[in-house]
Amino acid sequence: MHRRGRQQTPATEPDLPITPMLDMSFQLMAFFILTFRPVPTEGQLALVLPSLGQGPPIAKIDDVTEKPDAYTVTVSPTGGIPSDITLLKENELEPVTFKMTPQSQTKAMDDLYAALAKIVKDQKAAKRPVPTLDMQFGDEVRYQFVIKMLDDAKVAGFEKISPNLIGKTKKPAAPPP
Amino acid sequence: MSGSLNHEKAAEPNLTPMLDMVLQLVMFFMLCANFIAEETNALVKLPDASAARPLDKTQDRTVFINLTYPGNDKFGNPQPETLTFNAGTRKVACSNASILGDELSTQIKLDEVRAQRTEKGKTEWAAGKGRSLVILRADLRHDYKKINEILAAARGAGYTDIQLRAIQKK
Repeated sequence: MHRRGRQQTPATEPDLPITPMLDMSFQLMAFFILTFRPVPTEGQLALVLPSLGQGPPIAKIDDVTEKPDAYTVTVSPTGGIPSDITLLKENELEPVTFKMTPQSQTKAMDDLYAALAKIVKDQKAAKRPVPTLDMQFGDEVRYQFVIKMLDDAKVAGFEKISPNLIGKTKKPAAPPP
Repeated sequence: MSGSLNHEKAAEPNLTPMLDMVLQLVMFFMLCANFIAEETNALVKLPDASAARPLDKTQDRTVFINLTYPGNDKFGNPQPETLTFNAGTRKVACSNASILGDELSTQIKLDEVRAQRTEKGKTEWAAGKGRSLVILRADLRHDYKKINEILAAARGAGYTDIQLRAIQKK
């Protein structure tokens, strides 16, 4: 028996026209590539502002919980950059002052951060509650540095931080006698 | 006798795998594309913050306040300072903080009406929840005084929870 010469299978005729489909896919891809816009990752700092008529946020005072200390930071700028920062513990008279130097524009802020971190560390070591922080900024402090200082305070460990303008912090209502 | 046929045929590239790859790429870009983007104004240069938390899944009702700084846009055209209030479909350009305060007051009333429709909403409202989330995206170059005006306007309208947006600093 002899073999027949096998017929070569003819090349498959495209029932499905792939070439135009590929063209359309390239069109779609071009659209998505051109509209693709990677954005820097945004994060958020959540503030809880006291409602009108109240002072800076203060912890609820239970019988058992100790009242946390309250610190006030006052920031005065030169050309938008914080140059004079004072840190005052409530009921004390002498504030600690940090100043900017010609060599380092961020020295005042860095020193404040170191001081705040130390305060929180000491309070935690003494098993006392974390203090509250009232930050008062001068009118011309650049927002960038306001955020930096709020950020530093959070990283240092403060939880209740309230930003205000200098002099505008409402005193908490005196408790009824 | 069968002669060998002359099988000269132009080689055709196999398009099917190429199509598969292209569709894979299209899927990738489709998943990365975000059509319903949040109201993020590209002109606002946000400050850095290392304590900035990643964004939570956006809740239904958000109010975006974008505060740009006057400067040139990418084409070199000068752009003025703008303060925009954006709540879903309502978008208002405010010329000062008190107009913004009015818009926020209107918004909180809308929030209240919406909350009062259900029992659960009523209890939530009384507990201080159920308000729209107010997000402030302010350019880093502004004086704090301006930001404080906006925060005071929000506080005056009744919003106490405000999110300040910053770029996450590693």
